Formats: sequence, C-alpha cells, structure tokens
Amino acid sequence: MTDLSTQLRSYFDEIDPPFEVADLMTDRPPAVHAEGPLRGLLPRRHRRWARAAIAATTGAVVVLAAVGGVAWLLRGDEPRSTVASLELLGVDDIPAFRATVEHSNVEGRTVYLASYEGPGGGMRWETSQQLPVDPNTGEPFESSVPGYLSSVWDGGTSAAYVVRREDRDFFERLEFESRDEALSAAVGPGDLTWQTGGWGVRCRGGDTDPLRGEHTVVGATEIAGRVVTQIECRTLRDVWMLWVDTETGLLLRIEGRASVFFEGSGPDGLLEITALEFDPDFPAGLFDVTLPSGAVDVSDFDFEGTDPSGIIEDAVVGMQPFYLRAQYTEGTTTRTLDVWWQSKDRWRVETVDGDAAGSYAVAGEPGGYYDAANDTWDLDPFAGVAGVPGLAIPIVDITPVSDGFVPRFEGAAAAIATTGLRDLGCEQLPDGTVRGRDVERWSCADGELSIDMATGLVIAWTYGALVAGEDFYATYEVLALDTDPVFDSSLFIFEPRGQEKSELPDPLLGLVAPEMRGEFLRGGSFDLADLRGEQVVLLIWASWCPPCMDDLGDFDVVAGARSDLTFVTVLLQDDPAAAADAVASGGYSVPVVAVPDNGSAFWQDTWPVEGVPTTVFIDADGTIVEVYAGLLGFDGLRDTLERLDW
Amino acid sequence: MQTEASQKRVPTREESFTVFVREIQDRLRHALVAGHGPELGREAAADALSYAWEHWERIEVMENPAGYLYRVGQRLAKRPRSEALFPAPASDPQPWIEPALPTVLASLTQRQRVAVVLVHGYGFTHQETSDLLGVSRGSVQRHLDRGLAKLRNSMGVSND
Repeated sequence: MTDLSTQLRSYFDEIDPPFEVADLMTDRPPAVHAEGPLRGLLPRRHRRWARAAIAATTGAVVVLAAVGGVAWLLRGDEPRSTVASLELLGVDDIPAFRATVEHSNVEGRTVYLASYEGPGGGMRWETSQQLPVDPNTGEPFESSVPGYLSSVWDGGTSAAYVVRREDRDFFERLEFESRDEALSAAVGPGDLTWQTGGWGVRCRGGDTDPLRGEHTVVGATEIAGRVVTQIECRTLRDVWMLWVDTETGLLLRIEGRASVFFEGSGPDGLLEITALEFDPDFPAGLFDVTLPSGAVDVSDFDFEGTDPSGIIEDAVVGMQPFYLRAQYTEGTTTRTLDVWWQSKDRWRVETVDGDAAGSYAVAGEPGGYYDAANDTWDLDPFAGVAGVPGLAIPIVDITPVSDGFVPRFEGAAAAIATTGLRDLGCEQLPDGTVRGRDVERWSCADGELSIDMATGLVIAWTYGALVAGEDFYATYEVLALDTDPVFDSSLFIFEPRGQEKSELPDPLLGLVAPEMRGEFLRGGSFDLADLRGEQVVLLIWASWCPPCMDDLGDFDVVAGARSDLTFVTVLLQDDPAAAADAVASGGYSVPVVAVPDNGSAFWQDTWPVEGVPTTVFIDADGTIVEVYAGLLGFDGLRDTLERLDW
Repeated sequence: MQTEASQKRVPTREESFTVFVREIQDRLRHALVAGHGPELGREAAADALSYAWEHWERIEVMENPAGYLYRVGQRLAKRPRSEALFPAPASDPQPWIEPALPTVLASLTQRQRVAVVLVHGYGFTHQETSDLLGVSRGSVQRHLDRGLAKLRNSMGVSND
C-alpha cells in the first residue's frame, strides 16, 4: 500500500495545485482597511478574481467528485440528529459523582471506569484489556491502565479529555472534535467522536461521511438509578447501542461491535457504568475551565500553558535515569533526538532544540508496542515513535537489573530475544561494530538493525532506499550515550553531549572540477570547462527521483533570481526524454545536460557522487567549494549561497 | 543558461514577491486547505497572497510573514462552505490514495490536519509549521501525534 505521507502529498497535490504568481499580482485599490490588518480584509467584491483564478482546479475537483458518483458527497435531507436530549446542562447542574464502569465482551475482556466529576472534574478510569495471544509464549497480552479522566468541553465543536495515568503519574489528553458545527452546537458532546483505549464510537446522522452512521433514539431507560437515553448507532462498519445519561451527556454504556484498532482484537464489546460515586481526591480546579460558554478553545489547551497546578510538567520530567542521543534523517528532515529512558517501559523523546517533546512507552512484550500517548496497542514492533514518522526502536526485551532502570539484557548477545525478529522474516547477519560497540546485526524487510550486545539498544537502523519510485531513505544512529550518576556508565563509551557525528569529506570537495561534457536537452553541446571564470551551481538529478524534482523546482526559482550566477543541471542515469517531460511539465527554464553514456561509470569514476540529488558549487577558478548530497531545498540553496558569499 | 556576469542588484518588487510566493505558497495553501478544504482554503490562500502583494512593502519586512498571512487566510476562510470538506480523490490517482482518506482527514481537528499534511505529508519542519500556526513546536508535535494516530487507526480500519 502506498505509504501515508505519499498519499497525503498525492491527494493534496491533486486538490491543491500551486497558484500562478502572476494571478496573485492583480492591481487593486490600495489598502482599504486601515483599522487593522485582520479586520474585514478583502471585501467580497475583491474576491471575484480569485475565484476565477482557482475556478479551474476547484471546479475540476468538484467534477471529479461528481463523476466518481460518491453519494456521500451530497448532503442528504434526512434529519441530521435526533439526540437533542444529550445537550449538556449548565455546569452547576451537573452533580459530581463517581462511576464504576464495567466492560466485558464475548471473550471476557474487561474494562473498568470509575468516578466522574463532570466537566472540568475527573472521571477515575481504569482499564484492563486482554489482547490476542502472543505467538511466542502462547500467553495472552494483558494491560491494565488506572487513572483519572476529566473532560473539557468548549460548548461548541471541540472537547478534550485529560487523562491522569495513575500508574505512570503523568497526564495525557484525548481530543475530540465534532465535524459539524451546527450539529454539535445543538447536540453537545454526545455527538462527538469518542475514541479512547482502543474503543471507538463514531455515530452521526447522515451528512457527508461514509463512516458516520445514522442514529436513532430507541427510548429511555434507567441505569444505576439514572435516566438514560438509549441510542442505536449504525455506521457502515459498526453497530452500536449507546446509553447516554440524559442529564449529563455522559456515556454510561456502550454495546456493540467496536472499530478494530488492533489486529485480532475481538470486535464485540460492552461498556457499562454500574455505580456512581463522588471521588473526593481528584484535584478539582486543575484545569481552568468555564463551561459551557464556549470560552475554552481546547486546541489551545496546552499542558505547559494552562495547567495552573504545574503538576503535569513535574510528572513528565520527574526522573531521567539516562539518555541517548540519536540522529534521525528522512527525506528533508533531520532531527537530533534525545531519548530519555525513565523506566522499564517508558521513555521520553525530544529533539535537542526542544522541537519535539513527548512521553512514550514501549512494551516489554516481544513484538509489542504500547503507545501511551494514545493509549493504543500496536503489535507491529516497528510502529512509530510518535512524532518521528516511520521511526521505531523495536525493543525486543528489556530486563531491569537494579532498582533504577538499566536497559541491559540478561547475559549478552545470546540473550537478546530475537524471536520476534525472526517471526518478522528478519535474517541475522554476521556480528559487527557500530561506533566501537559490538552489535548483533539483523536484516529485515525494511531495513537493517544493529543491536548493541551489552544493552540491547538498537543503536543503528537504516531503512529504505533512494531508488526509482521510492522517495524515502532513513538512517537512525545513536551518536552519544550519557548517563545519570547512578547509571552504570561502563556500559557505554561516553561521548560528550553535543558532539556531532563526524562525516567523511566529500571526495569531490576542494578538487578542481573534473571534466564534464554533454549535450543540452534543448540542443547544443556543453563543456563544463567553458564555464571557467563563472560561479557555477550544478544540480545532478534524475526525473525518477522525487526529491530531485523538489530540488529542481527550487533550483529553478533561485536560478531565476540570481542571474549573476550560472545554474546548470545534469542528469544521472535518466532517460533524457523523461527528464525533458519533467522539465516541461514543471515549466522550468534551467538548462539540462545529459552526459554521453548517461551512465554509472562516469558518476562513479570521473564524478564520484553519492546519489541524487547532489548540488555542487564550483568557484570561478574551477574549484569545487561545496558539495551537498541530498535534498538541499530552497532554504538550503539560499543559505549555502549566503555562506559562500556568492 | 545565464552567462552574463552582472552584479548583484536589488530585486524588483515583482521579483521579490515571486520568490516569496514560491517559497511560502505551498505551506500556506496546504495549511489553509487542510484546515478548511479546497473550496475555502484555496480562495483564502489566494486572497491572503494577493493581500501580501497589495501590501508588499509592509509584508516583506515582517519577521514571520507566513504566519501573518496564515492568520489572514484563517480569517478569510471562516464562512460556510457548500461542498464536502474534502472531495474524493481522482478515480485512478497515482500514487494510490485510499478512498477513505478525505473522510478520515475530515475527522481530524483543524490543527491536526494542518500538522499532519505539512509535517508528515510535505516534510515541513516543526518550526515552519509552528511559525505558520502561531503555536509552540510542542503543540505542533502533539497535533501531529494525535492526527497521525487517528489517521493510521482509521485508515487501518478502512483496510480490513
């Protein structure tokens, strides 16, 4: 299946093609809104041109949709909802109470929920799930998650549930958003998509979503002494029966076929609140919430910003037994990550510049992965570290050997639990070393792992390839390991924090540019030597390489803006006709050269480049002053030119 | 090939605007379209960029013009739309797009969509995205995490 990021890009390329700059430069009256930049900009009369400019693409999209005959695109006339009784009452009207929720399904799994205090308060929340049988041990996976759940509803289209995990002492947040403002305003959170702990409810009247179902109010009944509205909910996939507290909108019971969140999990379930009781211990006032005036924008509900207690931050950063530093590169993105190990099953990732911070958990089960941020299980050991798409560190087994966490396998390499890897079709390679450490190496379908024998940490991982039709290539390597004072630092070769990975200089750098002759695609012969005396920016690319096409577009823009420099592009192992098509369809004007054999020998022997795209900067005296292998992009190109003072 | 050895010069208004638009328009457009769908999002992006052209002298010197224009676009996009938020993909798209993608996208929050499309789809950095949205990089990360998780779960559902 096409990977998600390619799908997203492909879809957005389709529905959102670029504007012509010229279309944007229309002569219009001078600023008509002196009272403030965001106040009443661009009255509608000025928009007519814009609609004309985008009519072609938007129109095409609409036509496409119509041609597709997709009925759900059409808004139906059926009643949009009949669940008006779910409307939340004012916050003062909602009694604080404690709930005990029992969940069971055909396979006898149970989930317990307890203690709900109303919006802004907390619902004690404890789940126990039995997951499918572990093929390695024959034992079922189990998990138990106690905690508190409190809800925040902004009175409009959004709601958030903040979860305090009792076992891990940290908070996480679940967000919900209604997809229809009018409906949500009328109905309240009962209309929201509810998704937590592997259970999902998605039930909406009609509208445009094939996954949304219709719901019908079956009638009123009573659960635990509370008046509830019973609602049948049918989507294309699921049939659910919901029992909703008529007074509070709280979902007291769910029964039906669940959305499948992890492979092999049983589809049927029942969730029921069996008792209600006030929880005196929940830190009321933890969240500054005013309901239901709509004053809270939950998308801005940041732990850092709005938690007046400060509890959350403290909880997250409370303990840091050790960290490792790793660098991750994919496409245009390179991040240096600090990974903080905090306990056997919990670690925290952040980039050095604080770019990505979060708390993540990894299962100890072979092949298992537990995403604490979303409270979901994923049985794919390569499931992503949140925020780092596609990157995962498959922790196969970790055995703590002291009170503090030490990520050491019992014994050495022999103890590395590789059963999971074998089950995935990985093959063991001869042992090797990475950065001076002995590693066990494994070749898997999507890459090669190097597992540190002393610690079991995956300290290098490479996957993907820059080949025709694929645009990803990623490497993951631990660059430095540091410890806290109680950590057994003899496990690691210490390198100071911040030390960068050393890189071999490019073989071309500093040389006088080797000879290069070829033909321009648009006719005429090319000899690099003729350009002596000019500052030359040379892009080596191929039309089969998607990052190259990105670079080519940026290259063309900069070439257009910098007529004082010479910009040339050269093909590497590409069909000149395909390249010509690509250049024509992009409307690029930068010249393209094909070298005679277009071949590998030239690029290995005469001009040794790592791959495409590669951008080479040649000074007026013919010296190669900079070589950049990989996607340079607009910013990179601009920055390099600045750095070279060109 | 440009071989004339001219001196560096100050670019014209048109040139600098052209470079600016080429630099930011993808991020701006995709963000607004992710947030509001192609119908409103594209119009808002076009209007915001035209606004930038009208006020180029002021916009050009801004520290974060992309973020400013995103807010302009956000404001412009706030009106009822007439079609589905995200239309169905072409019947035979290349590469293949899951038919459920538009639907699932619509189920994300606005900021989740923007984060997912910009960062995961197009490789924009957290910084670029946070500049645009005017939220912290940590928030971008959270929106991205949540959005991706939702997307993956739902797409997984759609594959069975």
